[in-house]
Amino acid sequence: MCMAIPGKIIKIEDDEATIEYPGEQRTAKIVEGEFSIGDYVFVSAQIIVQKLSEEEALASLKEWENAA
Amino acid sequence: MLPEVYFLRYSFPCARVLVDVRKTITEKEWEKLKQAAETDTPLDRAYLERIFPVAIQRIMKINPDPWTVETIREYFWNRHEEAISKDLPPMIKRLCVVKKGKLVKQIGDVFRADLGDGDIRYVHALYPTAKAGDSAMIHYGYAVEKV
Repeated sequence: MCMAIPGKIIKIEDDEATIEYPGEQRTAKIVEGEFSIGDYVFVSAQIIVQKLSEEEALASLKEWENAA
Repeated sequence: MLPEVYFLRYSFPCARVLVDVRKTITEKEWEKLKQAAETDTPLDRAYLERIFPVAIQRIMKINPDPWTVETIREYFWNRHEEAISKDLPPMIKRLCVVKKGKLVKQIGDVFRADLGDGDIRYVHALYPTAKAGDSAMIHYGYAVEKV
């Protein structure tokens, strides 16, 4: 599963992150590196592809809401 | 390689936009695309033209017959960026550009890819021979083709 919008990490347990999206939560695997609660990330095929800047994430979420 | 397979390898990585933002395809249709992309299963051209009408129209501006590997490559390597609609969220506009990157390290069935300028991504490979050290075209969260 991946989402074409950013998600926010709300929980981390070992290498599994729980990611919050508007209206739902999904889990994704942390492949490598350090992540924190509150980080915005891009997920594809159930892995965290990249951490996003808060600026890019919030602007993307706003744009997504405008499109809805 | 069949043009239908080549096209899907490049178009599948940002097909999620069609579900979550454009809402032109269903979750089930996306699963079908994923299954086909991951197994190099050729899908019917008319079906692909229906799912990806904007990409096909733009490819036809390069060549009235969109179904050649060379034409599809030209589109995704050199023209896809300009086709990314200005109203898409910034994250998608940035990640949707097809860029060359290096598969630096393999971690399980995932690769750490370095696209330069601090752009590090963890990607799955859609081409079966992928290995660390490859230069590959990266689209969204996938390594699509070794170059």
